[in-house]
Amino acid sequence: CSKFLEEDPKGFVTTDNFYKTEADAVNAVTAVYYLLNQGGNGVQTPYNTLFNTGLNFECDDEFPGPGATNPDVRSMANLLHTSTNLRVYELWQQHYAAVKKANLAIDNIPAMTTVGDALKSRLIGEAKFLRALWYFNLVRLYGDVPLITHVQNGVTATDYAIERTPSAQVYDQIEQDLKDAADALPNSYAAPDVGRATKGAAIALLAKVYLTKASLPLNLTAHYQDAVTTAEKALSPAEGGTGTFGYALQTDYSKVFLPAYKNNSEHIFSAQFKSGSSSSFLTQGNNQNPRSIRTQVPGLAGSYADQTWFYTVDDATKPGGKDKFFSVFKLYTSKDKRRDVTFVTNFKSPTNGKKYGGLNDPTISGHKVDSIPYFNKTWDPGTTAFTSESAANVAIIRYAELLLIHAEAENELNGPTAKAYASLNKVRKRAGLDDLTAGLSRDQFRDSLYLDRRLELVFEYQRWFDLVRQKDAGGNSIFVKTLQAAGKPNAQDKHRLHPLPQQEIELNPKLEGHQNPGY
Amino acid sequence: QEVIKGSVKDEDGGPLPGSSVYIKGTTNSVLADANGEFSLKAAKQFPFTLTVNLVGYKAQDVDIYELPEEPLDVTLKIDNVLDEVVVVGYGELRRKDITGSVASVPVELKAQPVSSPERLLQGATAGVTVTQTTGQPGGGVSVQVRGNNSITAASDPLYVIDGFPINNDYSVNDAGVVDGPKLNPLSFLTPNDIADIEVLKDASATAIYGSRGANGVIMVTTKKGSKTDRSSIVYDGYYGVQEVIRTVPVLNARQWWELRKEAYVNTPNGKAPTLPAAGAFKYDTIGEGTDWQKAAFTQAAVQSHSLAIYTGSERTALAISGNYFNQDGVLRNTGFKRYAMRFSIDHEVNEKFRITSYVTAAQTNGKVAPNAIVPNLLLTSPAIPVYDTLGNFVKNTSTDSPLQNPINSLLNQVNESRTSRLLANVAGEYKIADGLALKVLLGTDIVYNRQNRYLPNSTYEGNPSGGVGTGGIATIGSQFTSSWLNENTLTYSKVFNDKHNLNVVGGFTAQASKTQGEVASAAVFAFDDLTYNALQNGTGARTPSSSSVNWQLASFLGRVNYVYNEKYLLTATLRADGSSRFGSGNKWGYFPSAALGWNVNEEDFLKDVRQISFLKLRVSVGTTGNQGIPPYSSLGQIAPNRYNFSNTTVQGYAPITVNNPSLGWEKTFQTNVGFDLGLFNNRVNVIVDAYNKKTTDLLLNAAVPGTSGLSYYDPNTNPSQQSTVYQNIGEVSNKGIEVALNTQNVVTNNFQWNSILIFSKNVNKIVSLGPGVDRIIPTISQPSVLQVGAPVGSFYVYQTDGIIQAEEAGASALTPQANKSAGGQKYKDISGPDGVPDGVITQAYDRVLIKNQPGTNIGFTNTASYKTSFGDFDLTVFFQSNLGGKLYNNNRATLELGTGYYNGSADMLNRYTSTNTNTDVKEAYQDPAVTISDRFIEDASYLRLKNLTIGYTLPTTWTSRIHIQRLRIYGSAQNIATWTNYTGFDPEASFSGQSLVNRGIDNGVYPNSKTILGGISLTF
Repeated sequence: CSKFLEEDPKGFVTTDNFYKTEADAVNAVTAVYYLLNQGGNGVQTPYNTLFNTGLNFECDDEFPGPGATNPDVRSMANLLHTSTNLRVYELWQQHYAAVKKANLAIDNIPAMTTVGDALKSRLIGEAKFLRALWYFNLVRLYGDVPLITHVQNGVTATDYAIERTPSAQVYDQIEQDLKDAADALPNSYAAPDVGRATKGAAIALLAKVYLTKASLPLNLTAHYQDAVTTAEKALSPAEGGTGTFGYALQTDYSKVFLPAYKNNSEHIFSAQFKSGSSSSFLTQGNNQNPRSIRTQVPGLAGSYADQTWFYTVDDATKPGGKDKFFSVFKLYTSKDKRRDVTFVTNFKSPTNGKKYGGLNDPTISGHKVDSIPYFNKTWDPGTTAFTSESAANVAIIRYAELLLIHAEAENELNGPTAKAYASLNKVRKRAGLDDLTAGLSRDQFRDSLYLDRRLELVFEYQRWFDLVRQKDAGGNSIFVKTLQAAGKPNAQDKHRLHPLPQQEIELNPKLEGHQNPGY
Repeated sequence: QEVIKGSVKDEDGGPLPGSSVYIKGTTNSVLADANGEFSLKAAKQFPFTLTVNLVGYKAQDVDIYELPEEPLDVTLKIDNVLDEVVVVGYGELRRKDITGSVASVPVELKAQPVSSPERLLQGATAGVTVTQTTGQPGGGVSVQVRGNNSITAASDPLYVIDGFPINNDYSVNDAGVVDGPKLNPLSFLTPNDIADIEVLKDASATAIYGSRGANGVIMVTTKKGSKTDRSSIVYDGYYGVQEVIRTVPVLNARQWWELRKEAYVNTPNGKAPTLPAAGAFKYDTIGEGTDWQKAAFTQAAVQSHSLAIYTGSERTALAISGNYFNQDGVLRNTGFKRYAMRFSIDHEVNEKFRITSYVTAAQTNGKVAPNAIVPNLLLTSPAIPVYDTLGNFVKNTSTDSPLQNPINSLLNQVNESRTSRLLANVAGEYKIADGLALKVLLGTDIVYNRQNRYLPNSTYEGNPSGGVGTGGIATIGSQFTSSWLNENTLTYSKVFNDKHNLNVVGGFTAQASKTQGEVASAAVFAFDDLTYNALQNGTGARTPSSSSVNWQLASFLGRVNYVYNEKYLLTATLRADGSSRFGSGNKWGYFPSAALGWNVNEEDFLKDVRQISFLKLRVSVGTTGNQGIPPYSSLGQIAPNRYNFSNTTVQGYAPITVNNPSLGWEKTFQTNVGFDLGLFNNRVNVIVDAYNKKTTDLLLNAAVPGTSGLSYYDPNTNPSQQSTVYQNIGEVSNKGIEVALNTQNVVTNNFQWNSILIFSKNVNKIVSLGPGVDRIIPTISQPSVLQVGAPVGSFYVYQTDGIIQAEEAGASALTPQANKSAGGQKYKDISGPDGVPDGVITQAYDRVLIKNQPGTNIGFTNTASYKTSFGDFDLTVFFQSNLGGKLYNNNRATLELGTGYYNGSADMLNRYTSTNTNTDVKEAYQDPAVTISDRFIEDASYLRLKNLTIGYTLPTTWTSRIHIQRLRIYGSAQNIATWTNYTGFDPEASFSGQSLVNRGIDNGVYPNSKTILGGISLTF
């Protein structure tokens, strides 16, 4: 009788039957990458639109368009979000889901006798790299977070009660994981493994970690030195580094993003996207793409859920001395090649060849509307019929940013030295810009550098982190005043951290009373 | 002329004076005299039928073939419902001997023209809440007996058809391809085939079904043949026309355009200008525009034809029936068809051995309206035409955010579900000794479901980019479920010394089910002609899927019924169930119950109180269980996690659930007290019950912290992607009272009037959600909440507080919305982090609990019949009501956004403007997100004239000439009038399917319809 009642599932494997073979080990690590792409139909994952709706919208570059009808998203975009906000919860939960998959690999693989030492070491290195990445995001988004480095198999909520770990300790773990990963990982991969974490990726990310620690709010400026030293380990000799990874800027800025050139020498580590032939259930496509495409263009499926954020600035050339349609688009100078790669002002219909521009309405008087720029960085010319199948990767760290990290850390450490100028100008040159004016002060150099970061990395989920990090000449945060000047009057200092999800506090008694200030 | 003489007596031989004797189909009648004797003139033609009637006794028909030589002796039996045999689990009992709470569907309500049998329970049985969750033909019905015990486990009752507990899970006929309301797995049964429906409600009645009894048990008994050599052939048929109950008033094109322009002007230019290019549509000269609802709703036919043969011989009873049912939907291109046949045989092989068998086979075909259709009928701008200038459907109907053209979707999508179901069993009963019988039953339930879906190139959803030959998505799926059942029961039934009546049942049963399914899909079809029939033509490959799910149940059961001297009754039941669904350490559960009854009227002190014909007091107590969770919920499951390297897809694997070997039963402990009272020769019958249920160890798919890393997305079970683990935690209580009042108001020879009043009220409350957990918000973006102390289905929302006035406008305006200017919606500042109002409106501190649960159920039925020489007339008037429930009107929330991206409700005509400041409707503004507030929570109470039927039965003197025993024609109207303040389509067909948590949310489901039909019932 007991046999009769036993469950023997045929449609899936149970935990008892896993972590046995070499293939299991590889598959377990592949699963750690999973949340870089897509968590399933209808779910936003961090690098597949969630950082857009839950992070970019809070900044001064972007805003939810008419296609974004989620109240949580819109309240976040207006900086009215609280601890019960859906995106606040999703960001938290998905990062921990990814951490768990990393912990599973890190805990289970060492004991597996079927896996050779070299592969074992690489696999654990990959998992550690990813764990470091997820914790780096968590600690920047929420501050002190529960640091979990081993698998938990609890059943009840209280089994998972764990307190916040001071961010210094979280950073220690991140650094340790990245150092371990750098030791274990290869310089590069051949097909079919291109896209996995490499040694260079671990080093470059570590440089970024050091720079972040040295910046606001931690302000541990001693780490500027670590940032410079570490960045130089990854920079190629042509850029004054000792790296042997072959990293280089693409000469053509557009090639950085086009799927045809994915995983090129500029990509240090990217979330991998792949086109399918249609919008299928288990898509690997970049869902960011259709969200920024205008609706009603024949041949293109666009939902216009992400739009450029327009705000009012003083402009004597405009009626009333104000430009009511200022946006990041207008910050690009006419020479800057990045603008027309990053944005389009009209979409050419693949069906009828006509161009479809801004959704403006001349019938209402008083609104003489400028061209509407649409974000275009995830454009995939190969999948116009299925715009959500864009194969455009999302760069998590690319060489241009490494140069900017190097320039910034060097400037903060030693002032605008030739080294700092060289790294920044390398990026400006590729954009078609002149070298930065010589002889700037450290503060002037910093401001210029951050402007170039914004223009270079817009739509790549960097702006919010930069707004949090950046300081003015007095060493104070620019966060509140920048956002308020950009038409976001609700911006407050507390927004530099997200609230801990309310639900999490209610389920985990050890978080009670430890909400981030102001929420 | 000849005279017929006779006398009327009761069963003891005493005379029955005042009995009426008449010849059927004539006015020729007479009353029996003081000695019970009568004489009346015979009819002119033989044969004819004499009917003998007396209040409190069963009418008796006597067929007269020739003039009798001796006076007739007519014996009338007391018409006592208490002597009726009622089907209970694993046996039958006289109603008189029942100690538990068992309700039957009254005969008056069994003949309603409904599409599936459980709909007959609505308003007909106290304590049963039936809600038609969707108007989709063949669609779902939510049935709850005495409230819901559960939160995330199944809450529908167990259905037992002729002894076979069937799988009523909605997934059984859903291969997972069709988009839209799920079809009702019970719709394979023909309501015409149903003889009786009993509802087992308290623990004493349900404990015999142990682990599946906690949600109540619905016992369905089908019509049988009779062991006489008289055959009857019965035809029942009707044809009717349905129409949507109401439509929702929305703006016309001109009004929408004004709103849109206003929203544009009101919104600071932080938003992009979003009006469509001039010339795309000529809005400024537009008039009424498209009435999307008018374009989608239609008058729809419904028809049913049943033919049954009931026959038999001395040792055999046989019934064969067939049914064709066809209901078109009030939404165009939707509908439901059923082809069913049924066969039942009861054969006595010899004195000791008897065989019974039932076979039901049915084919049901549903054409389903996709979910987005109904909301889009309201939200799509009326300025968009259905067709473009070339006569093609406009695909993309919105001016900004994309909506599909609902008419195009409705007419051109393929969205169909076809189910074949075979339910068959055979039982042998052997009398081992006097009073001792062994019954062995073997049965099978086989369900094959096939679903087809095609999104053509010509639709937005099939080809969002609108390119040539770039779209078309075809999906097919099928699912095959076969289950078997074996029941072995031993029954001992004996009366000792005329005083001790003992009935004992014991047995062993086993049931197992296996489901296998597969879904295949392809995309990118050059043309739409072949729809889903040629997947190989699609150039876009899509990943197929398959699945396999098994479950098993093994049980031991026992029951003792003991009656002493017809006065004192005792029932004791125990069932032990082993279920595969639970953790390895917790497979078995034990479900005991006990009940006492006292037939007080049998006591000497009541014997002489003539007004009281019957009085029974009942009390019962017991535990039943619920196992309604998906199989394998206790196992740690490794799930695929895809990624790609070198632009090639690779499959990763990781656990998505944790192993929980201690997962066990959800237990409901129930006490019940009640009485059955019959007054004035049982002309007034009252049944009153009060119960108290406490459900513990809930099978709660309980939230755990996100740091657990447990997260997976499933559109059906976990749409919010929360971290959850199935655990036995939490407690829910249900308390309630039920009253069923049945009166025979007027009983005369030719006129009868009966009334049935059903009243039930259940109070549901969450007692606990586990240690330290006070509140769970299952889906953050929805208003539903689980809160300790409140009923399941309550809301947690902002409170609106009028409109922001000019002096209140600005950064400190009390609203969580972007619009802080005059004319925006204002909200109440309930609290802040420090427990006092803080001047800002936040989700965490300014939402309030609004308790909600299904309200009081009332059913009121009146039937009258009037006999004349030119036929019999009958009238049924059935009112049904639910009072006190609330609904969150999600459609209205979107229709009042006032963005102009969508259409608005007619209320938006009264919106705030600079000249219309005294209003409660906020101004037009381009912020297209709904803020969940009490404004959209509406009273969903309703009173409905559910059924009005007028029938006419021709006199047999006329019909017998054409060899027809009985011919009745009738006209009937369903849902013909509804009184409600609810502003959506319908207060009933608004619930979110089977989900208990979200059932208070009206997301725009297929609306209910009203029907007028005519029918004929013919017996040869």
